[in-house]
Formats: sequence, structure tokens, C-alpha cells
Amino acid sequence: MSSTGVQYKKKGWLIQMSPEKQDTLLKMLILSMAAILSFSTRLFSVLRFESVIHEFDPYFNYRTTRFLAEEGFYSFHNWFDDRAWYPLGRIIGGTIYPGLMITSATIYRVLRFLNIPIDVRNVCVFLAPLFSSLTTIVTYLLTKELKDAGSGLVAAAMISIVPGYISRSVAGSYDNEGIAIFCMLLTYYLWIKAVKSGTIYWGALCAIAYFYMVSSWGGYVFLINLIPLHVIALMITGRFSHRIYIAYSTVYCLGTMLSMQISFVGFQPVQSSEHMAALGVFGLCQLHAFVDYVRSRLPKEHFEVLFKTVIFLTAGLSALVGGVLTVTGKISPWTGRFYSLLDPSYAKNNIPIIASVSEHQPTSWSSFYFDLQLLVFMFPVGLYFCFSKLTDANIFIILYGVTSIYFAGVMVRLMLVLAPVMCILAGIGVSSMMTTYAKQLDVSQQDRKTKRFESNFFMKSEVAWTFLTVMMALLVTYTFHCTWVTSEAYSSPSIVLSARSHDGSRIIFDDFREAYYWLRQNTPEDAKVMSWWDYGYQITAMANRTILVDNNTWNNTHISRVGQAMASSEEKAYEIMRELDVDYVLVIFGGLTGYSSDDINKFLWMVRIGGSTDRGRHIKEQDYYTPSGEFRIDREGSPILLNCLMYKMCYYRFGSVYTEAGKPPGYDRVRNAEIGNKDFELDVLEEAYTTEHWLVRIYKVKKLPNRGV
Amino acid sequence: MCHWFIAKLSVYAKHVGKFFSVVRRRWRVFSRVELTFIHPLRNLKKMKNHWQLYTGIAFVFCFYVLPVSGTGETLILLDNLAIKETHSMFFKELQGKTFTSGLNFFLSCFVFVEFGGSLNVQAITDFIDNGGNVLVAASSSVGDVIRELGSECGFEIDEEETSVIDHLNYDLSDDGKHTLIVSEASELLDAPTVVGSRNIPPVLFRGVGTISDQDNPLVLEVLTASSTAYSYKPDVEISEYPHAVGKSTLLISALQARNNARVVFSGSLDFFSDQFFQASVQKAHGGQRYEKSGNQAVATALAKWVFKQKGVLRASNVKHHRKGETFPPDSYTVMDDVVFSINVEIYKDGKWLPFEAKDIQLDFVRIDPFVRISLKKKEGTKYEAVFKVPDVYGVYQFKVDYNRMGYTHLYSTTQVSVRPLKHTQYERFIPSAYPYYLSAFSMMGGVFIFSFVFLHFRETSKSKTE
Repeated sequence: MSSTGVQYKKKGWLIQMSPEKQDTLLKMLILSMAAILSFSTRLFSVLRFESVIHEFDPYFNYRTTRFLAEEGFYSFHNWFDDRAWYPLGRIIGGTIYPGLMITSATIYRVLRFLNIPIDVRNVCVFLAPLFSSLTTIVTYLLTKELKDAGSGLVAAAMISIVPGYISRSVAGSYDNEGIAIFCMLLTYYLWIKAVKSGTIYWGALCAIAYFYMVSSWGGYVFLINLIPLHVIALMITGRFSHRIYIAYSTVYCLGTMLSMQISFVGFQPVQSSEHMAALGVFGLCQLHAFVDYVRSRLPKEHFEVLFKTVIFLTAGLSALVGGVLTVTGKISPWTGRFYSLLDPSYAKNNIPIIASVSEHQPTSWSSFYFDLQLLVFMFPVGLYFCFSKLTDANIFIILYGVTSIYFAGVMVRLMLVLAPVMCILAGIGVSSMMTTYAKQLDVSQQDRKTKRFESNFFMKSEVAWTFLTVMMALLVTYTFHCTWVTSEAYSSPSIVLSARSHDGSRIIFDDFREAYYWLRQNTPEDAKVMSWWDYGYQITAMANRTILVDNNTWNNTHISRVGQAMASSEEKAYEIMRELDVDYVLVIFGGLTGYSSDDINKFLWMVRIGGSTDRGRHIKEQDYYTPSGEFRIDREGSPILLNCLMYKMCYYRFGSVYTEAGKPPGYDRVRNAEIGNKDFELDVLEEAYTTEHWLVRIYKVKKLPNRGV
Repeated sequence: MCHWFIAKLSVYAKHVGKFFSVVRRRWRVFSRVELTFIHPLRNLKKMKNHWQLYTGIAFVFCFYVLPVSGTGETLILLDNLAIKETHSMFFKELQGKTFTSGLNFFLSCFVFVEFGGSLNVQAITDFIDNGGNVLVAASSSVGDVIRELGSECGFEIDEEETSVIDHLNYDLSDDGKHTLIVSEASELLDAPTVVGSRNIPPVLFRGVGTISDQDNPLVLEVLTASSTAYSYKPDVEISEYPHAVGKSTLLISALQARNNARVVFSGSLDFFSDQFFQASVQKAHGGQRYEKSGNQAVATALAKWVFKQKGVLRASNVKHHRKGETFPPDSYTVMDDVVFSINVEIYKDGKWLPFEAKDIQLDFVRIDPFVRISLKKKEGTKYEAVFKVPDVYGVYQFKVDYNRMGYTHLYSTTQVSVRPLKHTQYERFIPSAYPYYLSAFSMMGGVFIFSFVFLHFRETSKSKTE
């Protein structure tokens, strides 16, 4: 009896709530579940390995955050780092987007204030999952503005697990993108709000969100071009109104001024051509508004004449001014990174350092499916629904979708920008179709009157059922796919490697940290370590030693110098190393374990980058190939390759090591070849340390011989 | 210091066996006795086992430990006890006043031998690399060890049984082979710290020639042969191109290693002998006659130099700070005025005295020198330079690199960071921007008044119209 009583009470409690309340409760429930899911699905790496910072760039962010948390904002802002880019140094305060560090330092300070003791590292590790939860909520709000709450919930659920976004926001992946996506969607949401309401209030909020976005990621350029594009599209379609005018004027003026407060951005918003579209559209807005005003005051014929002259005058004038400014250098020429967006082959042909970054490579088709799965198919559906009922806001999301899919095709990295809009549009698509068919389910239970009207549809209910079942199945596979991808592909910290042994158990390679701690413990405090730039951030953060080049690739010639040293013979390299006061050289070598992204596989980039400056003219890529144009490390390989510094450092003493059963000694398991140069001694270097699995090898640069010979 | 010496000797002991351990024990006993020599004959039988490596004839080795007051010791290895007598003047010189004061930071291994055996070269090079100074005097019958030692130090010694021959510049007392060469003092290296005055009679030389390793920047060509000299076996008909010809034939060469250890290599043992010291010199082909050769002067100067009695500098007390301050800052800011000072001293007669020079320079280096300025002599031993840090940030080094022939190589680097201006260090108001400030503030005022009027006016007009 008691049990039925409880049941009754429960039912009553639910029923007693009004439908609105039930609706809100359900929404809240779904949304918070999505937010929690998005946080927890990103914890694979923490559970599997440990609470550790991943990859390369995050180490720099972590180091700067720690500095900010310990030293305060002003010393952070004025921080001149003499540990990196020796001997040039780097002004950290003026060359980074500080949003990420300030966010986590604030969280750290607030928690400390509340007497919750937490490590800075843990704040950093869990920041990206936290912000992805917030992204989930913002996605809901944005989609709700675009379509309805149902679509919002579907989109929120989708974005919480979409791999394209998870790839950049797992726990430990402490990078700008982690919070930038949240900022971007927040800005879009507030922009839509401002466009819809046409109030300065929402416009100002949007500008502040834009400021946060600018402070956290260089990708804000996409945003400041997309919003003007939206305004232009609205003008062309004749939807320009006072609301748009107010929204854009507010956002542009406030946003530009705020963005100029970031010292890394500086005067770019009014000088560089990437921002010119926004300025131009701002001017156009004023003209358009003025023209509208004049039109309402003048007779039609007079207006026509006036309009034409003004058009020609302004066009001529702006072309002139633009030309003069470009010639005098006030408007900076389009930077390389931006060119590579428009023309994928540009960077590859002209700037090797840009092309060498794997995330700047064009996206393959498979990775679209891998990162988005179901969304790839539902995206056009969403687009269709948006087109079918055009509004100011819908035009924005259409533009966003179309442009970002283009950019994502150009650069793998920009998949990140595409993922949210994919989720939003797919959410709209899925939700709209489900609503359509779910309504038809009800029909079967309704009376015959209505059924008669719609009897021209054959087996309506069954079709609806089938459709919904298929849809459900697809969504379930989406969930499984996303979780699988997250677990298998995006949750390895890359600082700790893991592999499966023969019996299926997991082997952990912790060589990187082993080497960095060795450097920390065994080298002088002011030792200078030369390595390829990929490892720069990790060495400064973990080994706390001075490095020559790092992942902030701001000085091409300096990186080129290191590339030249790596690609030269020992004597030539020694000159360069002495010039740069190098004490230790660090190389990553995967030949013993089969770790394929080691320095030998990156070597051609060193050659290309090394040969890309004047001082490295003598280094030619062709010399490192066999006559038939192959890159080989075995006996057939080019003698220049077999005697360059990098080769010698990687394969020193390797010629006598057995790596695989049935293979000769010195068998490289990555290149699958027996090395060509086995017995050699190093003249100018001596081996200082080699890690357990030979992943990291550290060499000490010898001093000049005492007796000169 | 004594202990170190013993430790050093133990390196020998490791290679040469018990023989040296005897020396070591004896050395302790006799260290107070002047010109001690330890006759090893008693131990010869024991030695034989350890000396199987020796290829040449078993020489009698005599060990001199020249004890000097203080802690500077000199070990003398001789292959023949007779040398002690034939070179007594030189050894007395070594014991003379100037040496007995002794530098307390050096050890000198005096390989004054011409044996053909193979005393371990590694031991001697290790000794040099640890800061020891070595004077080697060889002769035509030079052995493999000395030859190997030479090549380790950048001298290439000609084959055994060869001599430097000069058919034009030989002494009257030559025995017909033209190997007793008269060398003009002008052939000496132009470095008074190494060779002393060049205003001396010609010197006599009889021995083996060397050539220097041209890639070795540390080798000093102390005494070169004349352009008519060459190096070959005097008794054999010339059938191939001589090893060394003309000026490139070195009679005496020297090396100051990067750790400032000094090595002098003389191809002639006789150069240091009493006989040559006292001999009169006259070139066979009608030269001027000199009653006494210049050998003694050169030998003394060389010994002083190689055993670090001359040309020894030290730098200390490197200081740098901003002008008007006394302590070095964590980092400099661009355009700072910097004061850099360093104390430079020279060792003279057992004392460290101020070093007078006008050519000591300070470089402020970031890969390339951005500032190069000569240091000015101040009171005492202090040198000072004041300059402005360039307007380029980065990690710089104060570098004093004073490398003069015959002097200790002074090399001092101090790393400092030069940071850009802080955000509070820029000019607050730029004069040229005043029109903009004016326009901004006037705009603000204008907008304020306008909005005030706008609001006010609208209300009144509304109320009026209504």
C-alpha cells in the first residue's frame, strides 16, 4: 500500500506542475545532463594517465599561467622571458593572447579566496572541460535564438560530445581554443540578440564578449569578418534596418576599441587588411543609413542623381586612400597565415614554417567524417530548414556554416570553428524533422476526422515510426562514435606515450619527462639547450632551461639557424652552436620504439626551413635525397644525410643495437630499414643522456680542445 | 698543492708502475733538499716488467724534483745523468731567485729529455690539460713519445736522426755537417714576454726541426730557421722533399693552451747546455763574431715564460651596475647607462701588481657585439667602462676577451638580460600628439554638453508644444 501511495504521490507531483514548469524542468534537466556529459567525456586522459598537461603549446600556457598566478598581472604584462629564444628573448606580455591565463588565474584566485586549496596545474587541466560545459549551454541559447528550444537542446547535446571540438578541449589540453570556442559562440549569441532587439544594451554586451574572444584567440579575425559579412548580406537582401545599424555600430566601435587594449593586437584593427572589411562595412552602414534618411527627404529624381555621384565619388576616394595606405605601409600586407586560408598552396610554396605545422595541412575527407560523423549529413538538412524560413538570424548561421566549412577544408585546425556550427545546424535539422514526424505519430491516435484530411499520405504513422527509429539509431551511433574517437584518438597526452605489447597490455613510455627532469637535475641553471622548435615549450616548462627556439615561431631566421645546424656536418654545426652558446642538444628518436613523429621524420622540414634564409642557401633539399629522389636512411641514402648532425645524433651507437628479431643490428623500426652509417664517433658532441627507450637523446657540446687540436 | 702534485704523479704511477711510486715516496723525503735526484738503478729489475712496452734502448732515467719555497714544484726528467752536469747553468738558473719564490698555482713538468722510449703521452697531456706547464727539449734522436706529445700540442717533429741543416748560416765551430746553426735574434718571435729582448747576439742551435700545425691557432713560432735551412738526415743523400724547408722550419715553438697551460718545445737540447751558453758565435761565411751567444738570455726568458713567471694575468672582481647604483639589477632595461668594471692584475716577482694596458676592450654581445668599447684604467687594478645599452632587447654578455701574444688569455663573460620598457616607463604624453588629446577631450566635453542640451531642450520644447 505504501508503495502505491508513493507512486501516487510522485505522479501527483509531476502532474501538479503546470506544462510550462514541466517544460522548463525537462529543458534544465537535459541541458545540465549535456553539460555534465561534456565535462566528463573529456576526462579519459586524466583517468587513464594522470592529471597532466598535454602536447606542446599547453605547456607554455601553463607556465605563463603559473607566472601570472604567482607574480600578479603587472609583472605578467611586462614579462620579458630570457629563457626562450636565446639570445633574443621574448616579450611574453606583448606577444600572447592573455585571456586564457587570466581566466584560469582568476579561477585560481577565487578558489583560493574561498579557501579551496587547488593547484594551478589542476585549474589548467580542467579548464577546457569546464568551458566546454559552458559552450554546451551557450550553444543551447544560440540555437534557441535561431530556431527554438528543441533544436537548442539537440544542438547542445550534440556539441557536448562532438569530436571536432573535443580534440582541442580534453582535460589537460590547456590551449586558447579551449575557451575561445565558448567566447565565439557567446559573441554570436549576443550578436543575434543585438540584431533581433536592436538595442545598445545587447550590442555592448556583444562587444564585451568580443573583447573576451580577442583576448583569448587569434581566430577572432574570423569573427570580425563574419559579422560584417552578415551585415552586408542583410543589406543586399534588403533587410537592413535601424536594428542592424544600432547593433553593428555599437559592436564595431566598442569592440574595436576594446580589442585594441590587448597589446598583442595593438593597432591591427585599424591597420591590417584582415580588419578592413569590418571598417568598410561600418562606413557602409553609415552611408546606408544616411542614404535612407536622404531618400525619405528628397524627391526621387534628385535622389537618383545624388546617389550616383556619391557612389562614384566614394568608390574612387576609398580606392585612392586604400592604395596610398598600402603603398606607405600603413595597411600591412596580408600576412602569411591568412594567405594560406585563401590559397592552400600559398604557404607551402612560400613559407615552409607554416606548411610544416601538421595542423595547417588541408583537411582530408575522412577526417570530416571522423570528427563530425552524423553531422556531415545533417548539416545540409539544417541549412535547408534555415533557408526555408529565412530570418536575419538564420542568414547569419547560414553564412557562418558556409564560410567555416570552406576554411575547415583549408586547414585541419579550423575544424574547430566548423564543429559548433555543424552541431547547431544539425541540431536544427534533426529537431525539425523529428518534430515533423513526431507530430504525425500523434495522428494515429487522433480521431478519424483529421485522419481523413491527410489520408493522401500512405502509411503515415508507419513511415514516421520508421523514420524516428532510423534517426534514433543514427543518434546512438553518433554517441558511440564520438565516445570511441574521444577515447582512442584524442585522449593521449602525447607527453606520455602508450603502446600495446604483444600480450595486449599497455606499455607506458615516459621518456619525455624522464629526459626533461634529467636536464633539470643535471645541467647548470643557465645551460642552453638546442632542439627543434616543437619541444621548446616543454623544455622551458619542465626542464626550466634556456632554449633557442620554441613553438611560438615568431622568428623565422632563428629557427632557420637551428635547422641549418641540424642539417649541417659536424664542423659546420659546431660553428653555429658556438655562435649561439649551445651547451646541450636534444633530439627525439623513435627508431627503437617505432615512435613515428620523431626528428628524423621531421628532418626534411628542418632542411627546408634551414635553407629558406640567406645564411642557409647552401642547404638544399635535393642533397638529402637519393639520386632517385627518395628520402632514405639506409646504405642507399644520400651521403650528406648520412653525415649530418641530426643523423649522427639520432643513430649514434644505434648500429650495434638489436631492435627486432630476425633483423640486423641498427634496424630502424620507424623507417623499416637498416641504418646506412653505423660505426662513427662524434667529434664535437658527447652523449650526455639517453632515455630508457631511446626516445630522447641529449648530447653535450664539447668545448674547444684545450691544446687546439 | 703538494697533495695535488702527488696525485698528479700518481697518474704517472698508474702508467709506469711501481717505479714511480718509489719516486713518490722518495720525493716526500727529499722534497726539502735542493736538486734532489733519485737514482732508479736499484729498481731497474723491478722496472723491467713494467717497461716491456719500451721499444728503444733502456735509458737511465734521472728524476729531479726542483723544490721551491712555496708550493711550485718542477719535475725534471732526464735520460742521462750527465745532462745534469752539462746543463748546470740552466738548472741553476731555474733555482735562481726568480724561481724560488714560486707561483703557488702552477706545476711544471719539465720533460727535459731526449729518450727514445715511450713514457705515456696521455699522462703528460693530462698534466697539461690540468694546467701544468711543460718545457720539452729534444734532439735529433727524439723518440716516439716526444714526437707524439708534439703532435698532441700542434707541432710536427721530423723523423729520427734528422737535423736542421743550413749551409749558409752555420757556426765556425761546426763539424762539417752544417747542423750547428747560427740563428739571428731577429728570427725570434716578436713577443718580449716570451723571448725577452731581441737585441741580443745570435743563438746557437743543433737539433731536430719541427713544423707547426697550421690549423692550430694556439701555436707560437718562437724561433724559426732562416730561409736557407731545411730539415733532413745530415749523412744521407737527399732523395725526397724535406719535411721542413726554410722559414717554416721551427727551431723552438710554444703553445699556450686554452686553459693557459704553457708548453715550449725546443728541437735542441744543446740549446740549453753550458757549452752553448758560453760559446762564442760567428757565422762561417764571414759574420760578425760575438763573444757569447744569446742562448742564455733566450733560455732564461723562455723558462720564465713557460713556468709562468712572466706574462701571467688574472682578472677578478667583475662588476656591473646601472650608473648611479652599486648593485647589479636583475635585468637591464634598454637605453640604460651601465658601468662595467673589472680588475686586471699581472704577476711580477711574486706579487700581483696592477696591469697597465690601453687596449683592453669590453664587448656587449648578443651573437654579434652591439657595443665595443675600450676599458679605461682607474685607481689600482681597476678598469672601467661606461656605456649606454643599445635599444635592442635580448640576452647579452659582457665579454672581456684579452688575448695578447705571450700573455695569459683573459676571458670573462657575464650574462645579463636586457628587457624592453615596462608599460609604466613609456612617455605618458607625447608632444606631437597634443592635437589628438585636445580633440579627444573637446569631443568628450562637446558630447557631454550636447547630450545635456539635447535632453534639456527636448523636455522644454515638448512641454511648450504640448
